[in-house]
Amino acid sequence: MKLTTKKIVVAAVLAAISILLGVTRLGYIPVPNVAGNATIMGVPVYIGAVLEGWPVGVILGFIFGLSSFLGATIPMFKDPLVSIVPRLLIGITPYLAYIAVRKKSEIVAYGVAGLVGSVSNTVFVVAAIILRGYFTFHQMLAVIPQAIAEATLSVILTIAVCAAWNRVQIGSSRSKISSLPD
Amino acid sequence: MIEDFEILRYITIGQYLPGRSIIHRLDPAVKLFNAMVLILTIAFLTSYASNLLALVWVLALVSISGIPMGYSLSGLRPAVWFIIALLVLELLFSPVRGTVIWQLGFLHVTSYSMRLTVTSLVRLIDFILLISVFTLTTRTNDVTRAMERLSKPLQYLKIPTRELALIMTIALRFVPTFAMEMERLMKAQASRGGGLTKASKWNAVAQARARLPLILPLFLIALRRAEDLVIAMESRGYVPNQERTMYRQYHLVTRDWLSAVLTMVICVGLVVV
Repeated sequence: MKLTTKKIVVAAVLAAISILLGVTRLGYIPVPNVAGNATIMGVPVYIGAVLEGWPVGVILGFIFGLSSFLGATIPMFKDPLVSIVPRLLIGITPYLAYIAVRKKSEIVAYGVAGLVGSVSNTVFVVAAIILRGYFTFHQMLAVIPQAIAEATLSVILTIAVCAAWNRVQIGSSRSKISSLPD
Repeated sequence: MIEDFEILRYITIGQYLPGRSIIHRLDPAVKLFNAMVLILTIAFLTSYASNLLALVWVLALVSISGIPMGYSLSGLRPAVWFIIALLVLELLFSPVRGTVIWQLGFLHVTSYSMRLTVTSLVRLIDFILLISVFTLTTRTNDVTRAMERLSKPLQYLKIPTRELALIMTIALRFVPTFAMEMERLMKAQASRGGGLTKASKWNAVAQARARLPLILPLFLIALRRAEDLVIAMESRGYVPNQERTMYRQYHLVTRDWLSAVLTMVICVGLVVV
């Protein structure tokens, strides 16, 4: 796995955003349910995976997991097997989703990557919580509203950031002199 | 009102409490290794006795390092009610396993749920104290170098550990910069009558909508800065995947080896108990 300077730096700035969203609590949106907050701290991971490939996604997943482990105040997230290990995988799934759909439409591929990333984050973390015996499957069904909120926000943010960065046109194109009929 | 915009003040990463304790003077890589071994061991402890012993050892480490206990636990304060709610949930609704101690309708406290609740609380306190002992006695630069040195064997698996350490260093360096950018964005939007402070606290949709115009420009600013940094690094001759020399050299001394052996002995002891 070879990393270019660009991959290193993009991973670093996205990791900084992930850490910043965590420490300022701006990455948490209060959703009334057991698990507390919907989090968008995973979004930099999905964006990194889409823009620079899966190695950057895995590195960002690791840093996201590490900062979630270090900053956690909830007993089950103070467990590296719940907060770090599942997050290593969430950089890979959005990348796979992105390259699978990219041929059809760039914009849709960004959205699918955000959706797959967020859903796999929920699924892997919940699976780890159940496997470690903190809660049972039925108790964890309570995270569904939060998971929906997270998935929606991930899709919106991933599309918006990636499209703006790669300068992909969304919706009707702006008026340009060059596109006017002669 | 104005404190809504003060982001920088709440960023406590990279904080370091200077001191002369033996924990301050340990080699950072050894310290990181010890902390990781202890955390992994504690994560797997299930009995009351072993958790109690682990807590005793962690408290001993805190007093040796001389960091103030209240300060390290202060991060828990905002989450205290939430933690209590979770623990009660765990205590009353866990699957029926072991002997039933107390029962009322569908609520039941079993020996299993009792142990689960106590151990998760003790583990939370252990981890918070251990992490603050490590981070408060080690400088950020030493932390990233320690990660790089410890993960060196992973290079044989083609994992780019040097680059990973560089990513961590750049990321930590950029957190305050982006916090300042964020403050600027928040003030700019508030002065135009928008922003986070307008959204009601429990309206999740309004909260989410208020965040979008903050977070989107933040990402774009960050990516633009990344491009500048790439040019700056390349023009100064940075080439990835290459051996680099370091100004600061580390040498392991007797106390480092002793502390590693002591940690191993304690971990084996905890697992056996």
